[in-house]
Amino acid sequence: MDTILVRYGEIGNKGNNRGQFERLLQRQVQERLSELPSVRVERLSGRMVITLSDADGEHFSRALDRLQTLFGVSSLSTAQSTSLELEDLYRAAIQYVEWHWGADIRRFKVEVRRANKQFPLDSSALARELGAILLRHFERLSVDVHRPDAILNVEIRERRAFLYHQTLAGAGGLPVGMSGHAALLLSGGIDSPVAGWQALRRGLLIHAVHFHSQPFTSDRALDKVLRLSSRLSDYGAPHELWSISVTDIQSAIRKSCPSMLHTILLRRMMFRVATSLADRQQWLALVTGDSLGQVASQTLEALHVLDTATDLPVLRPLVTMDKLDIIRIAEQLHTYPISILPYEDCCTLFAPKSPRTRPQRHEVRAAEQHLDVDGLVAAALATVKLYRDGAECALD
Amino acid sequence: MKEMYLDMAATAPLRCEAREAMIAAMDEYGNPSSLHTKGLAAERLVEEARREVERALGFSSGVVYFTGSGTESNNWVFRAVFERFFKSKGHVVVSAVEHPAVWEPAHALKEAGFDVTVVGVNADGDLALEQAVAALRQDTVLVSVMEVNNETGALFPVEALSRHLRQHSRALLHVDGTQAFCKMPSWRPPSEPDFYTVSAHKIGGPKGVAALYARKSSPLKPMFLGGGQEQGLRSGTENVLGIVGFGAAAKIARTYANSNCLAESFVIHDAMVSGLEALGCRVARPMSKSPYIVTAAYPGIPAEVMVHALAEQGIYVSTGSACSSRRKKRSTSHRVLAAMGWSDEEQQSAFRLSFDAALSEQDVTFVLATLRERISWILKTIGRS
Repeated sequence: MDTILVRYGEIGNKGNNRGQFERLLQRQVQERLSELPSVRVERLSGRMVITLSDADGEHFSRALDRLQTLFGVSSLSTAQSTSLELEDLYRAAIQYVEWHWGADIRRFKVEVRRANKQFPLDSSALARELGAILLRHFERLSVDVHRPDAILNVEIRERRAFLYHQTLAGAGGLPVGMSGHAALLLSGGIDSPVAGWQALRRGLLIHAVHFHSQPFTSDRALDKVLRLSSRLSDYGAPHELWSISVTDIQSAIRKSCPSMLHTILLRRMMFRVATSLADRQQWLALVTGDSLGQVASQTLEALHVLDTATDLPVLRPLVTMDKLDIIRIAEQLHTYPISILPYEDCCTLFAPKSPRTRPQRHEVRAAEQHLDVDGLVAAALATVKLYRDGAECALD
Repeated sequence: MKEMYLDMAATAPLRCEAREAMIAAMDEYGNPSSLHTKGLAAERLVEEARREVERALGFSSGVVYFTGSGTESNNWVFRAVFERFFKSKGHVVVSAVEHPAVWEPAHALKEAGFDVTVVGVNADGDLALEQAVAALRQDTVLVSVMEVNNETGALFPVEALSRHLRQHSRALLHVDGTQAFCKMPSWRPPSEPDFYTVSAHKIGGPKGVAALYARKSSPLKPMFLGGGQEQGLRSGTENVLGIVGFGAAAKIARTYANSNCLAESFVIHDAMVSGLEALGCRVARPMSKSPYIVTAAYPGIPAEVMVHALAEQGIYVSTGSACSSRRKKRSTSHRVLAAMGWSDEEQQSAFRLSFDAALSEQDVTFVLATLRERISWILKTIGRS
């Protein structure tokens, strides 16, 4: 094998933007493979062809690992390339079967895709020819077009042909960045990293924003969120975290507002702070891990009251998902073991004993009359710290 | 910002003597088991360090085995007792406030069919000799008691216990000396226990190295099988650098432990304790104690919040308890303070300050002033002032 074929189903359908999307994906493929030596990435209509100068296969498996998590890639195959000379092609097919098919493969078929219409044989003629050659060469093989053990795929392109028999699923979705920038409200729980992953999959470039209440929450809780954002960076998110203190906001709410509304009031304030930050950074949406009805603050009434605190679209990828399904994805993303680390905060000091599960807009607005909303938002924004690659760095 | 590290019972900063000795030893890369000159040089470093730890311990006979941690040393003793008395079983005595590295192995023995008696302590963490003695039986095979409690600083009567056992019992005595060894003014080891656990990083050595002292006739069995290091009892290439650092730290700590700063240290300790009480904290006040460990609780403020609030001001204290009620396994600190009869709220609020002779009266004043300010800030923030 000397080639990886990368397919990108969904963005292949995007009409006018297609060229732009392909360039974005190509750049991301190149970035993902930048650590590997002598990688060439070419675009051939509807495919990307990656050539690796790697005889021992070590770089191949690393490249496959890295490309399988890249959004926008629908599937991948490792392939052998050959020239378009018929003799070369036949020889390559025999060699391919000899090297890559085990003795357990007995029934086969050949499928040819002829993108190069100049090629002298048409698809079915070439398939028949190759099938006959393989039958002659390998006694154990027989053709079975309905239930083959393996299919030898042959793609005839402009300058080369590719042979492969296995296809790995890609991560699907759209290349990160294609859909614009958004803030991900990352809490440290199980849900928000999964929401972030789903947003990334739809091509959103997400910026993780975390609210803390130090000293009522610990450095380790922040560290946990940094680790989560690092995990999300494996899927194309920037490895960054915007951390913001809401201690003063909690204190003000506690002092002036009815205790049963504390949770909704705090979340509205968080939305306002995140919206201000998003405006400043030109991000166009908020992404949250809310799942309808999961906890008291996620009833439809609560979400309704919440969303009136921002004029940005609030994207909730998990809104209709069951907790068990969310956990299953979190396990696949390796965020689950981090999310369940026991650095729980001491915000219970602020937490109401019986929060209002179905808050009304008018009562929330009345309660907010007692708060200096703009002043608190500005003060919270002044506490912003930006972490890049796990270390605090200067704000732009 | 002025920083004050008051978590010396968790670990002590590396002493510069230990650092220098380790840096010098980095060039002695030989394997102590190798026959050539390089091997011999490394072996000499290990043996010199062993002699330093032996001198610091001051026992007249017996062997010091290097291990990887105090936890390993403690576990090793229980494992040896398990293997020695596996058939006949027997009776084991531990205190209610032992470190988990003793408490958990004791429970493992219980599950294996041994009878375990837990000796309680009073509300200040004191362990009465009479109670420990009363727990002894004809079939007692092991008594394991710490010398200084890591949370309250209570000093247990291990010397008297050791003498009593020698005269009246055949039980083995294990003393977990992790918080006592070279950490107390005028510290002397108890007379000839069967086992004594010490750890390097508590006295300014590196982490990842500790030791177990055992009498010559002890029933220790190999912890790991292999190349036969540590007289065949703990195979595995020696942690030469760590051991060298341990030796250097023990050499310095021994001098300090012999110095006479006892009276002064207790004055500082008293100032800290009365200052905390004046702020409204409940403080454990053991009769006999290390002057370097204080546990206090300000009911209503979870210990974790106190720890972070102080850390923001550069003061580093610790807590074994978390404020979360969702934690499944009750933490160590809960067990110890619960054994002392402290209320749930006090347990949740308990924090520990641990220091050494370098702490001055001015430092105490600074800590108390910061604490006063932090308490009032927290109460104001959560709307309770």
